[in-house]
Parts: sequence; structure tokens; C-alpha cells
Amino acid sequence: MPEATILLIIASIVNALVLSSMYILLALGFTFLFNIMGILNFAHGAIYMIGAYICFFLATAVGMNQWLAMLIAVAAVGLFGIFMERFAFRPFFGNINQIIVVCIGIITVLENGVSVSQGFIVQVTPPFVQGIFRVGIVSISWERVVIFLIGISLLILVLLFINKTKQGLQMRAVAQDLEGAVLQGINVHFVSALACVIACALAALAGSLMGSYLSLTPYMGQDIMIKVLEILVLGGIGSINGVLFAGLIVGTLDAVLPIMVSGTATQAIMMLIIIIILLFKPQGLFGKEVRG
Amino acid sequence: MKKISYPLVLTSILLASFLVFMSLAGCTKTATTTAATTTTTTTTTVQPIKTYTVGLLAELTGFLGSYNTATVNEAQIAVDMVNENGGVIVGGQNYNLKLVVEDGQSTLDGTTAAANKLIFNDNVKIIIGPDAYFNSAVSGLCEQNKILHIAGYCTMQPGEMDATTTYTFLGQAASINYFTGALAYLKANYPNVKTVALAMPDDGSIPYFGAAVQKMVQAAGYTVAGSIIGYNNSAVDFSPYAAKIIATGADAVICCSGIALPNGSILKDVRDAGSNMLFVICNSTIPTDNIKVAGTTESTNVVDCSAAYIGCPNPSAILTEMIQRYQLLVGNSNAPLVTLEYANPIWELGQVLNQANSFDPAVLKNTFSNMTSIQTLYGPGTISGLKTFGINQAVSYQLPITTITNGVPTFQTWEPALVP
Repeated sequence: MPEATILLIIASIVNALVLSSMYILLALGFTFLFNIMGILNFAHGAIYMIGAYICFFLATAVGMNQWLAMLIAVAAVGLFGIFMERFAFRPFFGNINQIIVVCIGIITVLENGVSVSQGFIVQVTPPFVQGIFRVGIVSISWERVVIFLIGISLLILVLLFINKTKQGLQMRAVAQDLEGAVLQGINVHFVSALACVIACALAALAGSLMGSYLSLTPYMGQDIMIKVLEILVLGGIGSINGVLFAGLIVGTLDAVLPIMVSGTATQAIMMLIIIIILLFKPQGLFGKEVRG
Repeated sequence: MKKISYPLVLTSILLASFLVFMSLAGCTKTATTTAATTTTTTTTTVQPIKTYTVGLLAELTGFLGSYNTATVNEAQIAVDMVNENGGVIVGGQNYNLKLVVEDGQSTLDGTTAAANKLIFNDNVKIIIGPDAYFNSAVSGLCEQNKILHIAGYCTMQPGEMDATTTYTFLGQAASINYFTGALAYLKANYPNVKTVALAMPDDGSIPYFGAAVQKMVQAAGYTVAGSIIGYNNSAVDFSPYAAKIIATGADAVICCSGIALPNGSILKDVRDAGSNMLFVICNSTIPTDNIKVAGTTESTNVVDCSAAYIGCPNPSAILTEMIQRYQLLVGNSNAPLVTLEYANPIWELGQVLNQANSFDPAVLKNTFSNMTSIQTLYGPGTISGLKTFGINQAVSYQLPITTITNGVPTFQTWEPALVP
């Protein structure tokens, strides 16, 4: 096999893994909220964007170390999740129309606030790590390796949290049967707030990393949000396993399709593939019947 | 019912305030400098005898929103500069120009609606803009309604500018200009390059602009490696495109148009994948923006034909003034952004109005198309484009060529980027 082809295949595998890990991180947060609160948080992409900007601001304007900046961004946006749960979601619990309007409001305020205040200046968070990792003929930037490792580590941590900790089990209980969980003495508001914090923190972390790997724009959350929705629908809304599997599929398609077809056609082909899968599995790959 | 936890509420409000503060951190600077500019204008501008309103069609929201917000600021500076020089004189009367801005929302539908609003609500007879590939939503409308249209960009797609769009002019360097400049420099300075890969946004322009550059590259004696690599401007990750470029095995890749995000990202990904192939960027984004996106170590072995930036030697006096005013506006003495998509057409419009001595679009159109040269913000400009567009209504001027090594841009030359 020609060297160029081998390199192309390896590059595609690496790209697929890095993209998938970021997509899964984001989609996991989104799924968290849906499972616990029954909320489709369409502002998740805007939260991702604001996390990236806070990290950028702290790392450049304040001159903070970018790892510390990322941690503060994650903490600040995570705590912002408490605000969202209390004032944006809890008052409208169970009313999908109002939740959608609230999400649109949050998106508008955050995106336009950043757009007006930052204007058109190309902004990139300083790289978290530099250099290239070489194995034989293959070269991969350390940045991609680190993003992938962080993504995978967090994924494992989140899954352990859900399955092994008391709070995680409470979340699952709330997700399975809200009334039953209340009768068992579980503080549903606390669990919901915790889910919001985790979802926002994951989004901010993904935003901070991608703000360095790519660059920042006020609308960076929109494109990634489309990916998240694709993953959710494909995996089955509310399914954690679905998110993992669909994230891998969407990430792989995103890494491979541009090599085979031109530019914008990739998105159309990806949607076509998803539609075909949904024709055979309308509830998604791991989806359940939607609760009434 | 559980009581409201006031400490929790308070904490949440404080956190929200913190987030708003963080996201609006840049506002103070802009507000202050805007006020300063207003003061300057008030003290130096001669009160107009009359005002003439010109429509500006910009993409203020959507994917071009941030970019066009800056270019609209530049347009206002150009209007101030025209007005401070006495405005335009038509029929012996001095007029100050005034802009009415409509938002095309970075969509063809939105741009059509904005153009209709300018023509039928605002009753303008002259439209400046739009940017990118949105002319196809405007040129026909201007032709039908006999509105002078000076575009800020052109991607050579059908309906943007051709022999049938007689009221449409291209007042600013477009993709084809930057490409022409870069190709000429490549040919003269890199004799070892024999094969080139071509990359550009897949925004509908590949069959037109792509076909044109492919012909130009072949005419210059190069072999095009593979087919044109069209990338998605909205891609989350550009590394697959980089992998595709490397796989062509070309000596150099030319990113024929596009903005800093995709071009810088592709450069970064090409370098991270271990390739040091010559990377040529031709677009209106300045080199430092590409470096910011790509990273310092990755920005090497690069040739960039771009918009003017600080560090270009011997810029025209007007360009120097434009840069200084822009820096004052944004409150940053090192602000590099001078893309001039709308400012240049406005500066040229001032000359056309003076020469035509009329506001009648038909007269303006004839005057403009009969001019062979015009003063642009970059210096002397030539009016050409018959071979490329099928109509002699495109303004060309010199563009800076810069090489980048280890993140350091070095100006090389002003390249005449005349569109045939």
C-alpha cells in the first residue's frame, strides 16, 4: 500500500477518535439534562462557547496559565449551571415550549453579547501542549493526543460517577421514576442542579480545549450543537450507551467523509446515513420508547 | 413546597453577573473609543450643506456577522474621510455622504430582503456591498431597478457579476485578485514547485472560481495534483482536509480563498501531520490572523497574498490614515484589521460622484465604466475584468505579499494583482 494512503488512513483514525471524544463529552452533558430533568437544553452549544471564551479571556487578558484558566472556566460555567437550573429550567419544568423559548433567549444573549463585545478579531486560546508526537512515518500533534486522553478520561469518570456513586445512582433513580425518587427521599432539586453543573462543566471543558485546537467565534456552539443533536437522535435520545456509540459513528463520518466527498456535501451525506439508520431503528440505536 | 434558598439565589445571581462581565469585558474599550471618534468627527467635520444617503448592505448577523461588523466600522471611517475632504460636489452643491445600513443576515434570502428594503423602503440609488458570495442576491435586483451597485467582494458565481450586470462594479480586491498576486509571486520565486494542490471553500464557487484558478495554474505551467479540495467553512475540524492535501503529494498547496479560520486550521493540521509543503494563502485575511489560528511553530514555509496590514512598507497616505483611524476606533494602536470590503468602494464612489457630477445611477454607471484608473485606499487602481467577468468593471490594485517563517511574517513586495 502506498505510504500516502497509509498516512491518510492513520490520520483518519486519529481524527475520528479526537472528534468522537469531544462530541461524546458534549452530547453526554446534553443527555444528562434530558435524562434527569426531561429538558432538551438547546443552549448547550452557547454554554460550550462561553466556556471557551472565559478560558481564552483568563489565559490571554489576565495572563493566567491555560490549564488553570480552563479549570476556572469549567468551575465558573459549572456553577452557572446552578443558575440555569434554578431560574431557567425549574420554573418551566414540564413545559417544553417555554423551555425552548428560554433556551433561545440564553443563546441570543450569550452569542450576541460575545459578538458585540469581541467583534471580528481572530482569537485562539494559547495551546495547552505543543510539539508533535512521531511514530515511524506517522506524526500527530501532542495537542490532539491530549484532547483525546482528556476526553476519554472524563468519559470514564462520568460513567463511574453515574454507576458507582450515591449521587449518580440518585440521578438514575430520578431519571427512571421521578415520583418514586421523591418518595424515597431523594432531593430532586439537588440532583437536577448537580446534573446541570456537570453538563455545563463538560461543555465548558470541551469549549476550552477546542478553543485552543481550533479558534473562537461567538457562533462556534451552533455547528457543534448540530453534531450533538445528530448524536442524540442517532443514539436514541436519553441513552448514554447511544451517545457513546453514535458519537463514535458521527466523529468517524466527520473524519472520513471529507476525504471522499467535497466540502458541504459531507453534511448532507451524513444526514442521509442517519436518516437511513433511523428508518430501520426509528427510536435510535439504543433508544427506548419516549416516556409519556 | 420547599422554601427558596436565598444564599443559593444570591450566589447564582453573582455568578451570572460574573459571566456577563466576562463576556462583555471588551465593551468598555469599544464604547470609549467610539465616543472619542465621535468627538473628533464633530470638531473637524464641516457642517454639510446637504446630505446624500447611500445604502450599505452588510452581513451583520450570521457567520459573517463579526467580520462585517468590523468592515462596517471601516466603511463609516471612509465616509468620514470623504466628508471631511468636502464631501462630494454634484451640480455645484456640496453633499456629505450618509450610510443607511441593512443586514443581509449572511444568507441569500436575507440579503435579497435587505436589498429590497434599501431600494424600496430607504429609496437609495446606490448600494455598497455585500460581501462574500451574496452578490447573486443583489446584482440582478440592481440591474432591474437601475441602482448603482459597488460590490465588496465577488466569488464569480452566476449572477454576481457578468456582461448582463451593467450596474454592478467590483470595488474591492476579491478572491481572484489575491490568487493572481500569489500565483505571480510563486512563479517568480519558487522554481522548484512543479505540482500544486488547490483548496477552497465549497460555497458554490468551485465550478466557477475554481475552474478559473485551475486554468490559471495550468497556464502558469504547473500540474494540478488531484481535483480541487473543497472544504466546508462550517466544519468543526479541518484535519481531514489537511490529510487529503498531503495525500496529493503536491509540492505546494494554494488555499485560493476563504477566511483565517479554515486556512489557518488547515495550515496547522498540515504541519501537525508532519508535512512541510509550501503553503500559499490568498485571501483578504491578514497574515497575523492566519498565524494566530495556525500557531507560531506551524506557521512556516508560507506565502501569503493578503489585505494590507501594519508592517507593509510604503502604504499609500490614505491607507495610512485609514489604519490610524481604525486603530483609534477600536482603541488599539496595534489593531491589524484593515480589510476594506466596504471602505474601498465608498472611497471610489466619492470620486465617481465628483466626476459624474450627478446622482443618476445611469450616469454614474457610464462614468465609472469609462474610467481606466481610480484612486483606491491602497493607491492607484486599474479598472479591468473584461476577460475574467465579461465586463470591464472590476477595480484592481497592488496587494502585499508576505512570507511567514516560524510565525514571523516578513513583507516581500507589493504585487500588482491585475484581474485580466
